[in-house]
Amino acid sequence: MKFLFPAWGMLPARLSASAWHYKSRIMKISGILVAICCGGLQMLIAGPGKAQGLNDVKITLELKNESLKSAFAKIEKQTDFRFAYNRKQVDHYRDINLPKDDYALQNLLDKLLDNTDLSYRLIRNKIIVFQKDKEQSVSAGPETSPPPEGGIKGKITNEKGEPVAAASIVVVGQNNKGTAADMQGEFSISGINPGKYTLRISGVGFETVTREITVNDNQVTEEDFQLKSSNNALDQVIVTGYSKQSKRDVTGAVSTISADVVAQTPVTDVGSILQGRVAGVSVDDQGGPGSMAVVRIRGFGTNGDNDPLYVIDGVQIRGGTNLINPNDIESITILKDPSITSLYGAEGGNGVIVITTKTGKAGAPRLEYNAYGSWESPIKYPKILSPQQYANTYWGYLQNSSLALNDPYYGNGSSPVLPDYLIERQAGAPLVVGANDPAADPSLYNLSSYRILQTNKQGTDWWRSVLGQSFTQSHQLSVSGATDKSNYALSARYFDNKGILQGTYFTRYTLRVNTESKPAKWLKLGENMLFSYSQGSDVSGGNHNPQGFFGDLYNRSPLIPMFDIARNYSGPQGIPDSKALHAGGNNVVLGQKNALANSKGYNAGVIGSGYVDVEPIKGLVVESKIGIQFYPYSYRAFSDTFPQNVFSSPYNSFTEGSGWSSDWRWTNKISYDLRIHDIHKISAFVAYEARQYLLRYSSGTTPSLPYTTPAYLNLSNGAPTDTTGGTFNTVGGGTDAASALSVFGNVNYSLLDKYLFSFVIRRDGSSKFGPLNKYGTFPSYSVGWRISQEKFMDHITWINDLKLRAAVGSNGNDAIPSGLYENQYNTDTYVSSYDIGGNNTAASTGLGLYWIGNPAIHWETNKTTNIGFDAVLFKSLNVSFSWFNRQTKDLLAEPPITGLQGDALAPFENIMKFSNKGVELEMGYGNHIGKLKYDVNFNIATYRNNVQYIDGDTVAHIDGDSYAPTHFALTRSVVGRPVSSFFGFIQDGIFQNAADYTKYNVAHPGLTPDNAAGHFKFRDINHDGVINDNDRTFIGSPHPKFTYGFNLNLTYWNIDLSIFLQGVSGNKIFNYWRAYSVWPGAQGDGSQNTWSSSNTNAKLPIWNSNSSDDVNPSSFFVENGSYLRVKSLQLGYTFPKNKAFNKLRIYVQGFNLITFTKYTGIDPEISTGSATNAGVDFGGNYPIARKFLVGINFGL
Amino acid sequence: MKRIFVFATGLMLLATACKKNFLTIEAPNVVTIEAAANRVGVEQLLVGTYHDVTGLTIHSGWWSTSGTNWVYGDITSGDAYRGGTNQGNDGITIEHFQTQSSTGFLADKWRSDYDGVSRSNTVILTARLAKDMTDDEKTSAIAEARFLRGHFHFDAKKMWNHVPYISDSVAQDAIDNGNKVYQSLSNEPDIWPDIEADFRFAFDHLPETQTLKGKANKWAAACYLAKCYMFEKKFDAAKALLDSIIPRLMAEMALEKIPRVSRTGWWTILMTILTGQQKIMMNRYFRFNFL
Repeated sequence: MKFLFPAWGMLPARLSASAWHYKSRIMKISGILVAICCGGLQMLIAGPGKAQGLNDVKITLELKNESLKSAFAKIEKQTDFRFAYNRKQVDHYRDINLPKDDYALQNLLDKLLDNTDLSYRLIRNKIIVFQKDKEQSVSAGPETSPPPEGGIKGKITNEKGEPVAAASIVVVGQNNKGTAADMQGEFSISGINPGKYTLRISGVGFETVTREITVNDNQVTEEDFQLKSSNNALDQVIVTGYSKQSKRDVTGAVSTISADVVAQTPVTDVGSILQGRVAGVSVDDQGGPGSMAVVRIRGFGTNGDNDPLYVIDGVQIRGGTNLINPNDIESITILKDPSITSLYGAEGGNGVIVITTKTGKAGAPRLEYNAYGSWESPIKYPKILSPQQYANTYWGYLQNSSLALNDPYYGNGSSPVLPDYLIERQAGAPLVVGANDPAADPSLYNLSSYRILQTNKQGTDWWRSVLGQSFTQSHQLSVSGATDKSNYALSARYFDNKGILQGTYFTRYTLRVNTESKPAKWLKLGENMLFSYSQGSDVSGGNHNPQGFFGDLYNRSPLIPMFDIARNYSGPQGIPDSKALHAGGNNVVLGQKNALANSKGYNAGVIGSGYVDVEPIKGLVVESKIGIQFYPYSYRAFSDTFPQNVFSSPYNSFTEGSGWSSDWRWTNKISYDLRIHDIHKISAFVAYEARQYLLRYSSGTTPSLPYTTPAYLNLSNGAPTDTTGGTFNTVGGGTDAASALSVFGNVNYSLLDKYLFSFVIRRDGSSKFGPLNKYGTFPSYSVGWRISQEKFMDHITWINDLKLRAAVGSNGNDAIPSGLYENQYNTDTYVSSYDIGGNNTAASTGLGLYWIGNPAIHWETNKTTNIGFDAVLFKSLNVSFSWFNRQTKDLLAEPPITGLQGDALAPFENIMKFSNKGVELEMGYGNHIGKLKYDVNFNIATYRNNVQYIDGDTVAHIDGDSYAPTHFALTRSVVGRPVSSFFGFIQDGIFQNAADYTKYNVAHPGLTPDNAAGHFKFRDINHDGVINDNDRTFIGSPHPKFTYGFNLNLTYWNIDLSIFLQGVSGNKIFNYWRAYSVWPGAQGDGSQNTWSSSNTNAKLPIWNSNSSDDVNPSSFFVENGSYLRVKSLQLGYTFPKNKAFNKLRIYVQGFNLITFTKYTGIDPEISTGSATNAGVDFGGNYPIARKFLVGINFGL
Repeated sequence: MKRIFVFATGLMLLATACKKNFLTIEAPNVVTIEAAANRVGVEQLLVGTYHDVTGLTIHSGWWSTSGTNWVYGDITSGDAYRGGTNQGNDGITIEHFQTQSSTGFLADKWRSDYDGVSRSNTVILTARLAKDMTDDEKTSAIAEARFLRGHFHFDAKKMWNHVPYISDSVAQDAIDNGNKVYQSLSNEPDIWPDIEADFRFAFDHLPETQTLKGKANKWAAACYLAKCYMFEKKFDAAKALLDSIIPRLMAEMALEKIPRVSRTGWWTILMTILTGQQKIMMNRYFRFNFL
């Protein structure tokens, strides 16, 4: 048997199993104690001075044909020394003779072991006897002169020649003698006897290298190593915010995204980067400059805020993810299951996205410049009817309604004739005149009272007049570096994002400073700080705002020209909105120009943390960290008065507001890492955290500013004239606050690198709940088994690594507004004041119930079970699989209240149970064919959402919102169905003729005449003969069957190409957008395809004066929402490295290139922001842009 | 190093030190009932309750919940014409007698009436808690609140007949035991006696005159009580009460205690004078909708 140093750290069982034993029982026990107490410390080092002890001891001894063992025993009897040896090595030395004499112990031992292949070494009072030729390094007897020693030194670099800090260098077989490379990647090992050795170099994220080297006498052998980065995903480091672990050791479901992937995704918001990259994470881009994407991890877990928690350099942040500079990101880790998210307690329920920013790397300071320019344009322009097409459809309407074919705009012929001029007047109907009419004489023109519009018979394309190509640019300069004692990284970025809606923009300046220093070995101080300033201008929009800007674009007749004959913007003031001519609201373009010129938002932000780490004892770290988020903001808006505007105000007004929010948290943590001889690895911590959130804002509006130059516009320059006419100053403001206290801890234990255990517990206190319900406790337990490390797996060579893992744990959620555990009263003038004195001057202030409190509200809890595996197969195929069951109970919702409770806002109650069950699979493979290197990543995930329970005492179902033109809610959540299932009628075609209708009518006498020929035939679900509210049913689910992403990277010589596809499948979209755009009487292309006796195959119902029921929510509006998108295609060229630069790469890229979908709306990627309105499209979203980029990466 | 360790532990303890009140945060932008449990607060709660007589609430405006009930009275009776062709409009649905369970106006109206009830009960419960009010002041405030509570229940009873009565003890129960209390209420019992009791209490405890003109006084309560008797078909009681009201009002008017009043003021006075039957007549001829 090969000699090993006594295994001090071994468990007792292992000790007895070993052939080694300690002569003394006491020693054995103390050895164990030492092992347990101080195993991590290097206590086995024998100083040379210790050997003195042997010479000082004299003993009297005589041996007659005795064995070496008995000689040792006799020595033990006379001295305090104890022997340790391997029986097999010692047993065959028998028949030793030694004359009786007084011996110095050292001489005695030398004599005894002379002519044997044994040597010895003294460690404390133990004399360790071992076979000398097997163990050169320790064969040096204490008496012999120091042997000639050599050493090894060298430098470890990666493929790019950059140093690999902290790589480990081990001399194989030399008791794993080794060291770690320093920040420059350099290492040296001294005190090595001449000979041949095997060196093993390994680093996190790199393939391990072994190499034979020879060490000569008194020479230092120099040997450099270049490490290849590993395709083994298990080598990744998982940063959880509170701790770091190798993915190998993680027992939960985690995914990571590297800086390379981030670099391929030219987006504003961190959330958008995740789209399609990670199984189980669904992302909906919001469009629009500076917008933040909607990110959902594993479906909807709650009724309220479903946003995941972002942790940036250990600081939890909410919102503000569009302030982070993607180029600063080193890695993104997505924590999906409770084994780790439980660490975040209340905030981790929706999953956690951990972002680590770049820090300085050792070596010469590095400078990098990254920039791109991007040309962006709308993916799709909706087609609009031409004015003539619309007029014809309108003529059909008149016929269908048995009305006379006579209209002031279109004449009274059998077909409509488009007018030449429209004259808007402030009062009275517009004049509609022919080309040569004297009323259209330009000399009569007056902007305020007589605006002459020459109609646009070709049709004004309002979409193209406001949307178009835009240019976005990003420039980032960063410099970073590090020494042994400190590191730093600075980066500055200018990002100017112009929107495809002309005039909208988002400009952001960011500065990041990351530093860390180690003034002493036991002390570390550092900070990560982001300063950001942005400004922008946008229009009111949002998916659920059909009356918003994009909704208005459909609502405006193409017959109306952009400008009147005097080149002033046309306005519909004076042209009433009617079926004949959709004048719409104010001129969108005029409104847009005014809003974008005079309405701006300014946001600043400081996000960061500072920390102190103290390591009083090796392995024990005390950390205090303060994380802050501070967001001051201001905005201003000027609304000018235009005579041509429909809602023209007689006076202008200026609004300015500002506010700030701050969110600090202070975490104090004690952690301890213990490693006992690579057998036991324990890392544990306990922490205490306090958090406080504050918000305060105020605003004012002043009317009638006499000048409108931008510099003049401020709140003191208004001219309020009276208190009754509406021209008075108004002020507003508000505040918000919340706080939390948490105690939490975590123990990770790894046995033999095979058996992994983790336990997390967190107790959270929240200010949101009443005195009795403030605290919630959220534990998690997880285990992992690296089965591939087991002997019985050795013969399965294609499995390189396989870890099975399982976790059960819970998280809480308190994402509701503050103070709702008691009734809230306010003094809202509109709903509470009353002229109690009867003075007819001013109403007295009253107090009324504003929001009903519920003292019983408590933590919403979600409990997740997660089972999965991580594997490396065939050396470079990474597979990660998870099955999960996420149960949310005590879900906080605001169910509708009985009318008996009055008009106040409904109280929150813990009333629902959700479940989300699903599977996730991620696969990655990398290899090369000759010079062609490739790697492929694929992920697919599915989840099934189900409402399991709704507190039936309160309410049987939760409805979504309803929007005009229907008063029905479009979605309903009910037990046994996915949350937010679409709810409405089933449309069984169209009544084709009177007979068809009559037949149906006989069976359903309750039908109103609205359901006559040409109208939608709604199914009588409950067979009561009446079509009414009770015939609504579930008509689709917004939840996708699965979501997937596919990424292929190819590198050939200096050329790289990456393709990224992303898709969603099996979901339905409630395309209520059609009720505004492609519908009888609307102006989108297709609106003309209405039913008539001559067009019986029409998709749309007849348009007549009885058309109100057809638009009710029905299966007609439910469409397949599946899509596959070629998200990104990037082609790059890297110039060969030379003296002038380290790195130079240029690339071109297309983003959002092609979308395959059957969805007829503008884009299938609609916001799924709210759980109760998921999957409903109102077409109000800012359209997503297609981008073409040119970029450069340059490094010195 | 030890010192640093102690320092760090100290930091943690410091963080713990502020624990006591750290998790108590007042609801932002609003007050809780503790802040209103005093003379000023009760007065403001009362003003808020009077506001509900207008029907202008968070959820609706002058249509569905207007205190004049013009949609349910004037439009349905043919006194007013809704107009317009928008088929989906609830006003038209009501005009056409096609009201369904999903007709939003009715839900609004119900909610508005019971909002008034809820606010009345809040006044009653809060007045009892107030420390700076005398017992007489409390009783007076409670009497006003009961007058209003009677009014809102009366309105609901008139609209739907089968409606539940929400007493202040039910409201207290809901505060203590959560809002589920409301689900257990029945609308089967006839609530006229409860309404009558409210007006009776108001009649017994309200002052003869109020300094603020908008407030209900003893005689306003008397009128409403009489109206209540009429609806209950307790004609004798109504007659007796009205006989005591009318001369008094006439006398007051003669003494010009009621100064020149606006048109709406006159209607208010008329409203308190006229009997139910007279009101119906007035409604018919003058297109006004009395309570």
